Amino acid sequence: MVAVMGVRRNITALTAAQRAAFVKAILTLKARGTYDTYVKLHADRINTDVDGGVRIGHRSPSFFPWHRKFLLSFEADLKTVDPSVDLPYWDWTTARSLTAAPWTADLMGGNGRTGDLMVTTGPFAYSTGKWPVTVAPDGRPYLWRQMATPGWTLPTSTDVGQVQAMGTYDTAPYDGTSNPGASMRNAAEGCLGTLNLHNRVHPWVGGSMATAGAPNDPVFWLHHCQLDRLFSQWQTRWPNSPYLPQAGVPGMLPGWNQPMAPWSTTPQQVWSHSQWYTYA
Amino acid sequence: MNPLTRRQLLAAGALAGAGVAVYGTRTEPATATEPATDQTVTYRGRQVTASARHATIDGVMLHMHRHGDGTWTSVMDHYRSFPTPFDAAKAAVVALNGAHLRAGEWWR
Repeated sequence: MVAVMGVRRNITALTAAQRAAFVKAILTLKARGTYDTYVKLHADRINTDVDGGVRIGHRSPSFFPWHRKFLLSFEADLKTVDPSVDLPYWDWTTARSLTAAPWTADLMGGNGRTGDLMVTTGPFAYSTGKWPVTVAPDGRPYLWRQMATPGWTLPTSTDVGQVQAMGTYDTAPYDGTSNPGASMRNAAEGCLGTLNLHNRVHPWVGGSMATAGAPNDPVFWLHHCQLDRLFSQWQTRWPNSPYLPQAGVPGMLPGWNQPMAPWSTTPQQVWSHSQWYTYA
Repeated sequence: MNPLTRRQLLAAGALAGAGVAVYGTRTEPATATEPATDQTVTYRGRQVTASARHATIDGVMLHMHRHGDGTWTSVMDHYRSFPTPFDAAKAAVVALNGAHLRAGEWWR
């Protein structure tokens, strides 16, 4: 892990140079083959995590610490390209336009085109030749999006406020059926309930982002950075609310000091992010 | 195309409202439209075969999960859920938009 403290910023606040450095680092990892290992790693978890069974990255109390570790690992790889790069976040409670950042040609590019829904603008457009999609559930070799289809809206600041007001981290049975009126984790993850800060943003972006190959769309990182930021705010607000269940569920989900596959990292080790980054 | 059974019509009706009905990922209990045995229909030009536990599109297995509330999620729509494998498969046909489904464990 890089020792220099990072500052994760709102993507709308990045300078032109910071935007260019972030995009270049992502494209470099793609060219190295590193990027697709993250798509595989994430898909291996999401295709395995299941209610009532092994669940580590999703539908589990370890949703937040697992993704914190996932982002830390990716960010560390970005820093091997350019140590000045930090993951930015997409605050979808304020950046709600389909044409402003992060959907601009210097960042994520825009919506998919009519018909095949291919993303044709920005650094991840298929025509650049730099963003072939190969680790995906379907045969399309390109990034595709279908933004803001009817029925889907982005979470609001009111939704975020209601989640942040919940003082209990998680509740039995600690999966996708945990009561979203009592489990902050499931209210935020969005397996049930209408607050749903996480799940619904995937189909709101649509296309690659809605599939089990979601990290093929680099906006994945911006969305999860926002969730990590909101989780960080929740931790500050509820300093005495522990990870639950502390003992985990044997053979199914990790406890406080048990490893989160595929890493040896435990929830305890990433519960605080203060040694790596702050949010601005 | 085979004549639609009452069950299939019920399932199709469930899907028609899916864009709104499964919003927020809470859905109705699955039992009402869950077929007891394999059924095959042509949907938007694709051959969809579904049973109570799995589905294929043009003969390729559509990887999916059954959630604790009885709903289903496939690799093509991984962040929302559907009442039955048949519903998940038909939504996957829409998402595929003519593309083929990758066979096997494409993520390994």
